[in-house]
Formats: sequence, C-alpha cells, structure tokens
Amino acid sequence: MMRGFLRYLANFSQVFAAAWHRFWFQASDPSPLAVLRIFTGLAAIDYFVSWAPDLQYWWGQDGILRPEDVRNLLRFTDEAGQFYGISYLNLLESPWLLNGAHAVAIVVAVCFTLGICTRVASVLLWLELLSYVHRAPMLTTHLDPVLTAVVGYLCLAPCGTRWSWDAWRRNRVPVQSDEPVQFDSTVTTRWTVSSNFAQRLIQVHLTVFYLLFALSKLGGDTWWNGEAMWWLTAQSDSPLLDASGLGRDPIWINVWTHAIVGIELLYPVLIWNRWTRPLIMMAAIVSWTSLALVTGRITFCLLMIGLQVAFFDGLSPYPLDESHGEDSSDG
Amino acid sequence: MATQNDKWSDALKSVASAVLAIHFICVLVVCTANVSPSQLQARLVKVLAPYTRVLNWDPNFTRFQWTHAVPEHDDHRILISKEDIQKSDASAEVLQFGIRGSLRRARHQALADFMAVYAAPGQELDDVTALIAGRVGNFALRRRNETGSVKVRVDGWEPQLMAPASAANPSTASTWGTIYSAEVWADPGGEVQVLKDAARGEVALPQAPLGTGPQETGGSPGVVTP
Repeated sequence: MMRGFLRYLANFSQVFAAAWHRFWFQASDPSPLAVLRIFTGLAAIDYFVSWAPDLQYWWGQDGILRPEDVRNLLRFTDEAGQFYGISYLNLLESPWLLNGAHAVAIVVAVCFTLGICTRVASVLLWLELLSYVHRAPMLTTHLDPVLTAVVGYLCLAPCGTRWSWDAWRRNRVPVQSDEPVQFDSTVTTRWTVSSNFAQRLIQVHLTVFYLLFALSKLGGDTWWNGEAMWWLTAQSDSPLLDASGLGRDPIWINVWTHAIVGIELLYPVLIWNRWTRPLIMMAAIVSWTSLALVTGRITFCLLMIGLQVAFFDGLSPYPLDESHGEDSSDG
Repeated sequence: MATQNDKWSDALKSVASAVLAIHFICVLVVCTANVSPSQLQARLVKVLAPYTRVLNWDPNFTRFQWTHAVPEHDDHRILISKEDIQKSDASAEVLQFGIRGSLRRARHQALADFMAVYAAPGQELDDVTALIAGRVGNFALRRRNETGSVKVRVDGWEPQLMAPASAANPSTASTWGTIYSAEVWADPGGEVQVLKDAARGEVALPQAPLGTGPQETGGSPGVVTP
C-alpha cells in the first residue's frame, strides 16, 4: 500500500514537472502580447489623461490629498498602510513640476502603446502607474490593480516585436542607399520563451482575478438571491443606461445576476480548454459589456474584454489546426 | 512566418519556477482576503504587505463585488455650500467632475465612497472624515477667494427594493440621504476647523466647553492644520 503510494507520488512528480515545463518554458509567438500592449497602453493613456484636469485639485499645495494627509488616512484605516506612499509624486510640490512629470507620464504611455523603445517604456510605465497608485490608494478604481499587474508582466516580454515603431524600424530594409527605405514583409517573428512566460503569467493572474470577482460576489447574499444587478441598475450616478425598469420584472434581474456570477465562476475552468475557450470568452465579453453599461466603469470593462487576447493561440481564439488536436488542455 | 528561438537554462528555469510559486501564492492569499478575511488571512496579508502592497498586487481598496446591497456600496457624492445645505439644496455644489463613465468621475466617487464608509453608523472614524471634509472645505473657500465657513456634506443614494410586476418603476421612489455633514471654518492664518453636525436625536449636551470653533450647532469638532 505504502509502496504503491510512493510510486504514485514519483509518477505524479514526473508528470507534473513535464507539464510545468511545457506550460511555462516553451517558446511562443509574441503576437498576442503585442495586441495586449496596445490595449493596455490605450487604457494607460486614458488613466493618465483623466488625472490631468484635477492634478492640482488632488495633489496641489492646496489640494485635497497632500502626502501627509494620505499617510494619516492610511494610518487610521489600514493596518498595513505604511507600505503605501512610495511615490516620486510625493516630492513634487511645485505645480510646474507636478504638471511636467504628468506630461512625461502621458508621453511614456503613448510610447508604450506605439511600441517606441518598448522595453524601456514598459518599465517606466509600470513604475509610473505604481507611483500614482501609491500617491493616493484611496482613489484607486477597478482599473488600477488590473492595469498595473498586466503592465508589470509585459515588462518581461518582447511585446514590441510586432505592430510597433520598434518593429518597423528593425524590419526596414534599405534596397539601395539612394532609395527610400522599404518594409520587408518576409522578416520573421521570433518565438521566445519569455513571450510564453509573460503570456502565461497574465493568463494565470487573470484567472485569479476571475476567481476573486466570483468569490467576492458570493460573499454576500445579494448575488445568491439574484438581486445584485437591481442594486447596480438602481443607482443614481454610476449607470450609463437606465435599466431600472427591469426592477418590475425580477426574473430578468435574477437571470442577469446569476449569469454574471456563473460566467466568472466557470471562466477559470473553461478558459484552459481550447474547445470551450471561445465560448467562455464570448460569454465574458457579453458580461463585461453589460457591466460597463450598468457600473459606468468603461475603461476597466473594455480592458477586461481586451485581455481575452491573453488566451489567444497566436492571433486566433479558435482551435483551427487539427494537428494540435491531442493537446486539448494547456496545463 | 515565425522562427523558434532562445532557450532558458535549467538553473534559470528552477529559479523562475520558485519565484513563480511564491508570487502566485502571495497573489492568491491577498486576493482571497479581499472580502471578510479570516484572522489567518488578515495576518498573512500584513506579513506579505511589503511585497503585495508595494507592487500593488493586493487590490484591497477595490470593491470587485460591485455591491452587496449595503449602504456603503451605493453611490455617494460630496456637496459644498455657503448656506446650510440641510435647509436648501439649491445653492449646493456637487463636487463631481468629469462625464459619467469616465475615470475622472470614478475618482471623485471613490473619495465620496471612502468618506461614506468611515461616516457610516457603527464605523465612524471622525479623524478620517474631518480630515477630508476640512481639505474639501478649505479648497472650496480658497477657490472662491473667501474666508469664513462652508458646509460639506456626503450624501448616499438610497435605492428602493425591487417591486412586483404590477407596480410602478421602483427607481422613481429612490432618493439621496445625508450620511455626513460638517461645517468647515478657515481663518486667514490658514487654520481649518471642522465641526461635525450631529444627527438629530444623537446630540448630547457637552460636558465641558469644546474649545475650538463656533459651537452653535453642537457636534464634535476636529482641527485640520494645513
């Protein structure tokens, strides 16, 4: 009995090690990461541009949240609050310096999106996003934790190898010295382990997020009894669409609520199977679209839709090639 | 067309595997502790904070459940007025910038939500609400080039319950209710005083003179030094 169990453990560790290796350390096409770079870059541009009109209001010398205020608020409300506040923005008291640093942040986000010096831009963008979060963590929205995580992972990847200024510059082939440069479409895309590694990091973190979305909802009665979407549609300021008329017919509110929780519960399971992946992706897109209309968190919901690309194999969400048929699960 | 390229050494893979395992255990711990953490989870979150908070892996300020149908999860807004807002909303300015659905608007809502959480009955943290109310009031006075006082109020939306099919649209009966109200005084020297309006019925006679700020309305004073 004991010997059988030990043999099982030995076999299990071998199979697990092989699957782990295949999952994390094989080379892959960086194209999905390039698409993710563009989506997250656009979200980052929106993030920084949306701060611009209110920089002095929030963080100016007479602003609402001075560095010492943020420290005090965190001291009162958060036991581990002392680990926030690591931000270069705390050092910028002059309006000129604050506005200048903010302009630089927008330029970096644009460079990242267009793939200009992508590797440097991605690291700078990540540090800037963290600095903004740390400057006033009580102002974070749903977008901040997702955006900082994805940009952090993209720092590890060659996400500028396609659809970028960097790729265009690299692929230019001078035909003759006195003729204008031409784009050489035959230049190949380099598959790398780091592409796969970063893509897997984003995939796993996304499934953890979905697990968090589902479990945090199920921590309250309202998502169990099917009324949660009513409480969202019946708000005053958040909804973009007046769907409160649905309150007269609770069945539709119940269907909507249960569907959102169901999709978020099933997502971390079905996304790993290549045959169920397109189905759960479509369901997630519908779910995020409906949530965007009701909660008003447009950038966050659009980013969550865009992040579905993290599960693309190359540039397709579909299992098109029969030669890959044996490998039905990535894990 | 693509070429397969580059390989990682076994040593690099081992290090990467160990880092991966540690990283995702940390992420899983802080994410699952987002709502109603156990004592163990709360302790682990604190232990892991130097990593998870600094690099923002911990979404502790984010309400991913959207709503649990409690007042703290409803929409909130901050209002400022020179007059007593309790008597008339006509002169009140809603501190809410940006168009609906924008990140700019979401941040103003986040501040109002943050105040509302710590003004809610049973969770009052007057230090928190007084600090923000003081800054908001001071900002409003400076913007208008005024001294004296301004009223700061936090309202919360009170949605009605779902109604049966025969009833009228239940959202029409929803309304704003006041969660927090205070008078903010700023003197020319720059000192700001916050005098919280106590709810009717909760006002108790002071045992001793309160000492700071005007006291005609009763309530608990706080001082914010700029």
